[in-house]
Order: sequence, then C-alpha cells, then structure tokens
Amino acid sequence: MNTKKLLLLNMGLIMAFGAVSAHSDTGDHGSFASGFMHPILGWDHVIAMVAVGLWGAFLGKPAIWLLPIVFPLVMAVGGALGVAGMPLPAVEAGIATSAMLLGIMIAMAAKPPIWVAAVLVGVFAIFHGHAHGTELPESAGPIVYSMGFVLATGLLHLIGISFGLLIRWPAGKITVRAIGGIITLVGLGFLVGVL
Amino acid sequence: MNQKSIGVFLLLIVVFPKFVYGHGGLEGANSGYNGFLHPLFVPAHILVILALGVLLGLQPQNYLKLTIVSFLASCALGLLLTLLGSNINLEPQLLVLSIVLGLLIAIDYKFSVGLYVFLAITTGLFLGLDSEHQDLSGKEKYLTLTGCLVGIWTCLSAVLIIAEKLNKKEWQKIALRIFGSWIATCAILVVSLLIFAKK
Repeated sequence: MNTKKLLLLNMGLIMAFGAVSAHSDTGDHGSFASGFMHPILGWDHVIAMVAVGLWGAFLGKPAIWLLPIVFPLVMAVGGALGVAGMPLPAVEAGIATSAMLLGIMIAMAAKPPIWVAAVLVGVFAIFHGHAHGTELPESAGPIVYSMGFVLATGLLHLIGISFGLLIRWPAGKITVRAIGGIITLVGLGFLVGVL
Repeated sequence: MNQKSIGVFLLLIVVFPKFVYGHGGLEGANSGYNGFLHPLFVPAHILVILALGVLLGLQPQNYLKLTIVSFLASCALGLLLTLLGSNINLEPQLLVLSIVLGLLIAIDYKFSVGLYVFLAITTGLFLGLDSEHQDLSGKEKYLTLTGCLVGIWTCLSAVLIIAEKLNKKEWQKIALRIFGSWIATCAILVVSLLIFAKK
C-alpha cells in the first residue's frame, strides 16, 4: 500500500478523533458512538493498541496483519470473562504493563518468533478485553456498541501500523523507536500511578 | 456466477421496491419496502450477512452458484415457516453463526464446498425464521416477507461483490481477514452479554 496514502489516512483519523473528543459525554450509552468512544477515551488503552500496530509493522509479515487479528479476538474472550463477572487480578496494572512492555519491544526493535509475539499480545488483550467487558452496557444496542468498540480498536491498530511503516527509512526507524520509548514511559507512568 | 448478471439483477431489485413504494395508493405497497429494509434494521442480521457475504466473496467462483441457490432456497423456506407463527428468536444463533463465519474469514483456510453450502443453508434458514412479522396479516404479510427475501439477497450480494472485488491485492486480502476477525469479536462480545448479563 502507498505509504503516503496511509499517513494521510492516519492524520485524518487523528483529526477525526480530536473532533469526537470535543464531545465530552455521548450520553447515549449502548450506541455505536459510545462504543466507538470507549477505547479512545482511555489513554492506557490507546497507547497499548497503537503499540500493537507499531510492533506489528516492525516485525513485518505476517505479524503486521496477524497481531491485529489476534488482539481483537482474544480481547473478545477477555471481554466475555468481564461480562461474566469472572475476576481477573490487577487488570489496570496489566493494561499499563502491556503498554510498557510493548513500548520496550518497539524501542529495542525486538524481533522474537511470531508465536511469541502473538502469545504476548494475546495475553495483554485479555486484560484490555476484561476491562472493556466489565463496562459493556446492558442497555439497548449491544451489537452496535460492540461494532463501534471493535472498529475503534482496529483503527488504533491501523494508526500504529501506518506510523510503523516509517521504518522503511533510517530516520523513520529512529522515530518509531523513539515513539516506543515514549510509550514505555507513559505505560510506566500509568503503572506507578503518576498518570 | 457472472458478475454483470448479478449487478443487473441487484439493480433491478433495488429499483423495483422503489416503484412499489412510490405507489402510495396501492394496498400493502409499503409492506414490501418495509420488508426490504428489515435486514438493515436488525444488527444481528447485518452482522451475519456481512460475514457470509465476505466469506462467499473469498471462495472460488465455482462454489458460488450452489451456495447462493442453497442460501436463497433456505431463506425462502425460513420465511415461509414464519407463516406458521412459530415466533422463534434466533438472534443468539445468528450471532454464533457470525462468530463461525468471521473466524473462517480470519483463518482464510479453503474448506470443501459442502461446508460453505451447509453454512449458507443454516444462515438463510435462521435469517428467514428470525424475520417474522407477527403484527401483519394477509397480503401485507406476504408482501413484507417477499420484500424481506429481496432485501436479504440484495445486502448479501452487495457484500459478496465488494469482497470479491477486494480479494485481489495482498493488502486487500489481509484487510478482509481483519474484517472477519472484527465480526467474530463483535459477535463474541454480544453473545457473552446475552449469556451472562441476565444472570
């Protein structure tokens, strides 16, 4: 795919998110819009999901598409656990840790075997899914809520992937690794409770 | 199946209900159009139609004729069975089907034609049975059910054609697989909500 087009799309998405964020309360819980907003409003979720995309781009094929497939599917299982009310210890810490470790992987340009990356991302997805599942509204429109929620998650991955494609250039590689470093620090900030 | 013939057929059935809708004076004229729009207003129907459409769009052309005919026949049968007044809620089953179809898209493994025919028949039957209109009777009911069949077919074939067109370049194939995983994810979340939220 044309990198320029992807970057343009990426910028458009970020701008769209900004516009959406201006509406502090969507009010209509259970709607597509509130589902779409849910993953975007939590910064710990946002950075972790962007990190999944970034790392996928770093790892190349098949990780670039395998991780964005694994993440939502396992996240749904975590969501089901959350809806079922099954307790999962240290969910918030797990989410923060996921961002931190994924950030470290990107910053170090780590390239483990694909199954290791998939398992790691899958384990993190359980925490994210559980957190979303416990907050999934029982009110009208669970399907459209889920559609919005999954779409937003996928778009965050796409943002990560599109930024990750910068690694084609030496300066881009440094930029992406620097973003990984920032994600690590933000994740650490969430973990220790500073953010 | 010839893409051009599907396109012409699609155009005809999209235009036809418009004509029906335009004749407000005809008794029961609106029912056909309401039935036509019915699948668009039921999220579980949209989800399963999207999943089946994409899955069939990814299959070889020689699979299509049999699966489409099977789907239409079973869907028509399901709609006819609603005349018996069974009043079955098949939303959970449709969501489970969406999970299966979504996962099949995501793994992109070519199974035998028998599986796709079975899935098409099951989806068609469940969609038909879940499209009951208890509040209607007589001619209106028949018109609504006919419109419903046409609406379901229109949506399915539209998705199928788009998926088939997109199934060319490498990144397009990947995008379709990711889309399949999203469908499965949505359906898993909602099924879990249906199972556990009432407890």
